[in-house]
Amino acid sequence: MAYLFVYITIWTTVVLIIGTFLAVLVRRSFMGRKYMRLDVERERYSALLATLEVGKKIEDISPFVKKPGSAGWIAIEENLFRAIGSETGRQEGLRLFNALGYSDRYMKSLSSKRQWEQALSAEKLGRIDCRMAVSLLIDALKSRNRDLQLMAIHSLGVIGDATAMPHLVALLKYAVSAEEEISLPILKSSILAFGVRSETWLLPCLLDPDWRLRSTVLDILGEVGNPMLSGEFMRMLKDPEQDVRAKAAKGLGKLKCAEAAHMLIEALNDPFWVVRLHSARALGLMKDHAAIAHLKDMLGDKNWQVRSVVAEALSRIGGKGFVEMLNVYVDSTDKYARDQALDELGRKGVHGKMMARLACIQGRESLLKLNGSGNPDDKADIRDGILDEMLSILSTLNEFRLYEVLDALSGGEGKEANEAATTAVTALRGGEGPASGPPGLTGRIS
Amino acid sequence: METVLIKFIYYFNYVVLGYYFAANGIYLVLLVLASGMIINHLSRLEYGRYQTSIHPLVAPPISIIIAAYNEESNIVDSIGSLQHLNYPDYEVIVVNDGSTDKTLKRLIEGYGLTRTNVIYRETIQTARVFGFYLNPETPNLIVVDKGHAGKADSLNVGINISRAPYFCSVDADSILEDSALMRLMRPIVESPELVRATGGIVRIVNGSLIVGGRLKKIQLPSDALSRLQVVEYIRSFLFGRAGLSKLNSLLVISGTFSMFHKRSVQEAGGYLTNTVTEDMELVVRLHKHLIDKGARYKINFVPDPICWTEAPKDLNMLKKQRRRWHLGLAESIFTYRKMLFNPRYGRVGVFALPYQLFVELLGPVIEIAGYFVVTASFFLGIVNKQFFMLFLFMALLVGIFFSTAAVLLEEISYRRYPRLKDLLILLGFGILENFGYRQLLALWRTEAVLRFLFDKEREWEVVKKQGFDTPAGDVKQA
Repeated sequence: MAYLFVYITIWTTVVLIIGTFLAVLVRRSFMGRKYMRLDVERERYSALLATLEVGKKIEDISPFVKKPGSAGWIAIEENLFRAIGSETGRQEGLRLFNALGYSDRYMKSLSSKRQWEQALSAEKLGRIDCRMAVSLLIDALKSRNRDLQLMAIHSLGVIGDATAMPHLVALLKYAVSAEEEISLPILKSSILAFGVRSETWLLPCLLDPDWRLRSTVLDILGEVGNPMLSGEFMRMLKDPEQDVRAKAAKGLGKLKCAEAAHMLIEALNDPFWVVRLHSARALGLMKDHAAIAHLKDMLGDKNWQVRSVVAEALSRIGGKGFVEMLNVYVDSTDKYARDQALDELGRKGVHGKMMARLACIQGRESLLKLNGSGNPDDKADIRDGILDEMLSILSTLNEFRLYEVLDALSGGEGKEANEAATTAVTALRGGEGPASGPPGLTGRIS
Repeated sequence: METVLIKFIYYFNYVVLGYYFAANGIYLVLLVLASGMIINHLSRLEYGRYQTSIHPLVAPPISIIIAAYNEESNIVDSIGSLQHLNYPDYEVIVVNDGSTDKTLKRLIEGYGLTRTNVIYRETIQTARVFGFYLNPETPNLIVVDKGHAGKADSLNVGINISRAPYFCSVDADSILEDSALMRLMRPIVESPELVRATGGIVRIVNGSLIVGGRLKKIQLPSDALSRLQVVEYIRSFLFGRAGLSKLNSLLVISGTFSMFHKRSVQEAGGYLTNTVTEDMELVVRLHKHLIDKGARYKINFVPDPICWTEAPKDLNMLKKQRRRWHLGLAESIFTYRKMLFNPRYGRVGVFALPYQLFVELLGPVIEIAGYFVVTASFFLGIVNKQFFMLFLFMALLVGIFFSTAAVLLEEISYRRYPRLKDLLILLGFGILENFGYRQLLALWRTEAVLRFLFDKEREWEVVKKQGFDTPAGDVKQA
């Protein structure tokens, strides 16, 4: 019995090994021939791509009519896809997809028995902008084939036919409320592709009792970025639901809505940290200088993510934003605020810029010219005037503290350069100022 | 006493026989499952190009974390190659793990970095961090300098300063294909609430042409040892991991290139620093954490060869690497032994961990013991010569079958070695690996199990590699 079992196993394995070897070789030979045929056809129809890319029309399409699935069909399809990727070849390429029967073929394949073929066809219909297929793709949104559903969502966005919008929004409602496995990122991407046209269907959702839908829709509308909707966003900033308020603040930042600045400043005091975070980021995106003082206060927020975004917002506003961060670092008694300011000043390379400015001043200008000077045409992110103002702040410090600040701003590196800079900055105030630092440091500097 | 020994040998033959058929039966099931999964994946790849046209604002940001220890020869090129990745939003965090060479200097000079005071929030406790280096012109690159405490600790530092919701750990000496992030993120973009981690196929780069940190031409290595490893990697990744992933029982995602949902990892406690294989330990812990929390989740394997790494070129290094891997496997199973056969942990407890214990961990031990016991049985006359020879022949044939089946899967799927000559070489080495190489690996793994059981002073064994563009004598550690 044992022998029989071993013999059977041996013979089965031998057959399997021979079968595997043959399968490998047959596959290689088959694929080799297939690719060879395909290469020949690609070569044959390469002129088609060249013709389309220079913007010419194909009058006689008969040489390009091929049997679906044949090497010629695939080679022409590849060339047409490349052609629609170019500006000049796009229109004619799309026409040929219809004229040569590719669109029909893809539409038929949507009801194929092979689920991958269905999904691939849905994806291709999107790429060729096939409006005839919109109703079929809408039907596919209800498919149980998840890949087909996903590709239909994507392609409807690519095609951008308005009739699809109610269906996509309905799916969005379903996806948000039922938390089904429908990819929200892809659904959002598809709706975003409609741009401002999506608003007609999205705006009513802002009245929906489900806060998750209101929040998701605000997120999409924020990315659409229509400034005409700023009123809606401002209204939603008072929504009872914190996530909705956060998305409204985020959206206002994307819209760069100056009228909303005061509301966003108010929202900096929201009890929910995500609202404060998005409000701060929005004020930064709006580059609202009036918000600097409020943001400066927020550098000491109890939430570290808020502090981090506040610092980013201040540096995005630029100018006085940097000055205030330096002030916080120099003066504040709040360790968290000071650390955050230092972090941002470091990330933006403020130390290097101040050193460069100092070298420039030492080379050509008197020390007294620092206050309020600077080149207004300077397009750098930190203008000379701002750097001068920051140097001016530093010049009020005693030598020890000044060295300490410079050392911190440089990340603890460049001791000699910082010592030299301490001397130079001290000299800016003409030797006046508070008492000197420790003897070692003072000794070297003076 | 003699009778007892003979009886033991007699019954042990049955154990070996039973084990042999059970293990190979499982391999066969995995092979079938993997074939289905790969065919499915390949078909899905065709419409995967849709990802390039989705709105960039919906692509989740990623932090790529690279732990670098004595990587001076490649580090600038490696980081440079990451600039070409096809993904809309990612930052690169390089953690210099106390290198004793010029790794940090090369980075500072290569990217014009300056030391900066950055807030370091130690969400996960790590070794001391010395400093941060940035260039305001390239805000998406940050270099962290820290004391040497191993790869796991460096990855934890990277997680602590990461600003993205997902992080991707990449070895400093590995090469990513341009579409690597996009492909690894696909399951996450499609099911963001469900997928908590993904890993891809790692391939051996030895012999291939690399220019400026980018893979220019894929070729088979010229040395036999590397070729044997190529076949072994194909078998391990193509039907081992793919099959296990199909059963949602994947316990190993290669640390060479893997993507994780940051918050899930933080909640689970980050990488464990006192283990020799931090990647497997983290994945098992993530399973445990998510099941304990009652979360619906998936840990996905993306069967795409998108990351290339260097394999050891000499037996001594190979031995160290494999012993370390096996020791790590033993440690992870031992640490999470309460999950074994525990129905509360679903497939992970009932299938994945027992599979790792009995097939992957103890398999080599039983194999080596089998060689001795079956040979002893033969000399003691417990089994007759004909049956003994037939059984050995059968074992070899089955081994050859699995190796050639893996090559077939590669041929059906990715055809990364397009020359017919390369294919025949792979088939040849698929046969050859069953004559000595497999037994050698089993021996080293058995050594690792014994070391785990009896040696309490286990140390991390450093595997030195030669680097891609460096002269053969110029070695670096990995």
